[in-house]
Amino acid sequence: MCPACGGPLIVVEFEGVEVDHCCACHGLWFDAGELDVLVSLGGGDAERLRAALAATPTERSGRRCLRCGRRLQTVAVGDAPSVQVERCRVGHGFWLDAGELDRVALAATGGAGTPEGRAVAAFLAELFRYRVGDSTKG
Amino acid sequence: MWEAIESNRRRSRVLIVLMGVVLVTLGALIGATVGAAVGTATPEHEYTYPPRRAPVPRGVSPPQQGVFAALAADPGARAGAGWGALAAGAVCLLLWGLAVGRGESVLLSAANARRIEKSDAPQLWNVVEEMTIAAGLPRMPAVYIIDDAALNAFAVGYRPERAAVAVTSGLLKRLDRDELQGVVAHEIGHIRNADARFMTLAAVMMGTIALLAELFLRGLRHVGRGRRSSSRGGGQAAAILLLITIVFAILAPLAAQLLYFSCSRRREYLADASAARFTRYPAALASALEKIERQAQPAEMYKALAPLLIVNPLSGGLTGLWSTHPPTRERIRILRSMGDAGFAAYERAYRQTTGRRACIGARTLAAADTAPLREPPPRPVAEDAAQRARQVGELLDRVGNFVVIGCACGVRLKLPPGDRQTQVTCPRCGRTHAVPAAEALAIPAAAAAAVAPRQKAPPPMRYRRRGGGWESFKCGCGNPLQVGPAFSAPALRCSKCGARIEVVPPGAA
Repeated sequence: MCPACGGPLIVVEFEGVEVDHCCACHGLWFDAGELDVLVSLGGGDAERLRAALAATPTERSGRRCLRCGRRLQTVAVGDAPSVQVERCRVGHGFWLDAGELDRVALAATGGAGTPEGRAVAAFLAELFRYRVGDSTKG
Repeated sequence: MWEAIESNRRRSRVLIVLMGVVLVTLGALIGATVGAAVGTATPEHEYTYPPRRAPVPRGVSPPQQGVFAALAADPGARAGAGWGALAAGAVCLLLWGLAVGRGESVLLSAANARRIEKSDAPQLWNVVEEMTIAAGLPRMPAVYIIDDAALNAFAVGYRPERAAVAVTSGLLKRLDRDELQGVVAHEIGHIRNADARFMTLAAVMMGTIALLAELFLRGLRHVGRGRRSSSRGGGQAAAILLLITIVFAILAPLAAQLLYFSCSRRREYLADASAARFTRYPAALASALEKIERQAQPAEMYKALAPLLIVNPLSGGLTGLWSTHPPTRERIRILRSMGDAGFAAYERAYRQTTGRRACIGARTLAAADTAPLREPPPRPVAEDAAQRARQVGELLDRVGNFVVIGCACGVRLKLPPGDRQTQVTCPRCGRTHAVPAAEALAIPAAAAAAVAPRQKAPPPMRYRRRGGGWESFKCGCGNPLQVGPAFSAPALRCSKCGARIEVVPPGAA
């Protein structure tokens, strides 16, 4: 069950990384460590991502962790404009709404200004290219 | 050879009796406090008290408790003490009955363990088989796997015949065969030494004590607001009793744990010694323990299971008196310094390493034979960790009844069991896949109508295989099914609705 919309979740496996994907709202759930692996696959710095994701939580989210059922907490990743990412309180993983993934990747790699950031964002965008509203682009 | 178990049993009996005393005393104290409160409070306050049990009928004369001589004059307290002790015993018996009857399945389902068959994980199965024979168990324990990246394993089973061994998927991924054998041998050692039985009983008593104490302390918080004005008559004695009970309710669970842990640590050493004896290769268990100790995250969901696991999963520096398991480093050092694989060698290594005296009973040692260490086996092919990880991943999908669809763009889509979607869209490339399901054969409507009233059998279905490997698909009723590479029968039956499904080999017309 998708924590955001209650839609059906499927597991998408790519290069050994398993991501839970909601078929209805196209949100993504990353278990602890999986996002790091994906970002390093794309050539990004997993250390930096971890640091960005470890930001102090701003508020409690209404959604619940996929693994433990506890309420997720919202953390702001990156600066101006920051992305609101939902994180499990005890570290089971992260929930990203549709479209948040590339912005998180950008925030974690130095922004769209750097070639590294662009590379990671492009890699991740390629990985989850097909989203609501994008279907017309093919 | 197994007098070690005898000595453990004696110790365990003492422990159980001590725990029973703690349990009954706690029950009596709580009962007396409640009795005194109910007896002296005005009627409306009875309703504010948590309904832990029915209000005490006054005038019943239970056996007098010596501790409460001061309160002996209060019939409410006296009746309460008797009823409280009885209730504590009854709760404990009830939980114990549940644990003995359904304990294995409760524990296993609490850990989200899934049972596997030989075809799912042949290597693990073989290892368990070997160790069953080495230990001389009457029956091979059931094998379970837990989808968890943490490295751990545990054994349950009130009787050896109903025992089960569970390992996490992380353990399968990270350990090689010898290490896995060491861990399984340790768990089989627990089963052989009848540790699970004692642990079940002790855990139930510990749980009951914790439950009663918790209920009482929580109830106190609720009642505290309403009762302040009503303390009158015998108030002082009741207050002292209340204080004693509060202190006891706080201390009793700790004392129970302390008793429990002291006994379970000995059992760990004995299981290690047994594992060395069974495998004749203690270095493998030592190296497995090293890997397990290095694991990054503790599995916090295992708190209740902690005493059963191979290493203590809870983090923190609380070793010593408080840990269910001896320090892993010490266990590794003992195993590494064993001269041969017998109990005597373990005993020698234990004394050298810890400086403490005997851990295995003297009679066992006198009767124990020595067994030469096994040579480290040659490793013809370096086992590829990535390959092992992939195999375990596939095993989990299979055991978890996932329907797996490979997309042409390189990702694999996995649908959890119970998913009713008939098609999924690949999030990467946007291709739409039909969820493979057994399709109902077209039956002429007339024939179906003629047949339908007489037999309720569901319509026959057919599944066309895509290749020769493991394939998942769904029965028409939605139940996920698998066929393996070795499947050669013309049809199979759905495990849920019983419908017959023809399996058409790939390429057949």
